[in-house]
Amino acid sequence: MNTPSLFESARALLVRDLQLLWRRRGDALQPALFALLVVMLFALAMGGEPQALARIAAPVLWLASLLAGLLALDTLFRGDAEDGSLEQWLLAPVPLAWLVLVRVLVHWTTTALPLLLATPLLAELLHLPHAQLPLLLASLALGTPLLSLLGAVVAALTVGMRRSGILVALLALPLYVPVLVFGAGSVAAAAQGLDPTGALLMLAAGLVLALVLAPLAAAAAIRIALS
Amino acid sequence: MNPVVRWFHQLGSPPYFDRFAARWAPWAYALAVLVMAYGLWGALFNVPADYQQGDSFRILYIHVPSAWMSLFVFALMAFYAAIALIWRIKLCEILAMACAPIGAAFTLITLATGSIWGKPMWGTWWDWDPRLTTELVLLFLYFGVIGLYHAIDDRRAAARAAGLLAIVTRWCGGTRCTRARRSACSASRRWTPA
Repeated sequence: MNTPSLFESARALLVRDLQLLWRRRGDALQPALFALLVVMLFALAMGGEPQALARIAAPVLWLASLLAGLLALDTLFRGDAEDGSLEQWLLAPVPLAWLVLVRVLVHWTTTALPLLLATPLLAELLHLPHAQLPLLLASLALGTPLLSLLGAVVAALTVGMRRSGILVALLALPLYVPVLVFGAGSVAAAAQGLDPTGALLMLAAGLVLALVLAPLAAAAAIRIALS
Repeated sequence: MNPVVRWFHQLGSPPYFDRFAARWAPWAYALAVLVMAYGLWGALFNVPADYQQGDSFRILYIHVPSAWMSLFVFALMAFYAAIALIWRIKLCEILAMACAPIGAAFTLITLATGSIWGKPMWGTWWDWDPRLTTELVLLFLYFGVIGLYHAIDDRRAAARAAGLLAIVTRWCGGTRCTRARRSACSASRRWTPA
């Protein structure tokens, strides 16, 4: 039997994940709904006054995406860990890091991308100044894959643990802090008239590095967790 | 084999190291107490008061070394964890996990003494500038390593998982995050002692 190529194995995993997701397509909306609820809670806590909301709109939207992504991490490996597919991944003829990368990218497409598409609507709810919206979307487009990749390492470290919810948050949030600083900071800098390019380039650099290194770290973590 | 090299290899065995540590720990404590006593006397009595800050600068003699130690111990923890993961040396798993509470304690001391220094100097207990914020994030990273270590039942797998977390966060913190944030953030806001 021929060893499958990287592309063939990626396609197989992609098709499987999308088919599984399609059978429960309502689940794809849950991160977006969570972000909507977070936006609503912030708006109500601030008292709903448009001026005040407009000032905090970009950071709140960043936080909503970040927290929704954090909760979505639970579904990254759990299904496969429970039914034994993750152990089959360990035995696969393709590198484990490759499978992890494909899984994380599919996960991002199905959880963070709907959130990204919903962001303009959420921005309207918070009275975000229209000039900030393109930059906010750009920073989220660069930042959310980076958050998914970093979160994948943490999820891999805690895979198989039963009550790992708050531990995942405790481990992942310090790693998320730099991404949040650069992401929300780029929009804040632009709002003050400074150049946001530096922060965006830092996000892009981090994303490029994480695309290569995070799957390797997550693969090592899965091996440790399932040993 | 060279006796020194042989002794070093023998130290890698946990039972041998356990006996070694049990024998030398009291002496190490004694030496530490003596040296710290001298340092405290020097900081509190010997050194003259600062011409600008008066006597409140003396806490920096505790704050600055604690800050170095908090960063150095994290790097050391990642180093031990790397050795444990690559060469499977059991002792380094124990050493790496032993570093975590020590480093966390130094981080707490750094934050506490920094706040105590900051209140008379800057007029505030806390500020969100990059240096303080990264020290706080470091504290959470230490807690994360300790928490992950205690969350897994098998001690060896727990040490390896927590060690991998230490390596990953050391890489994140030591390379892009700290330097870039300091240069990016301090370019826009400069803090000087009031």
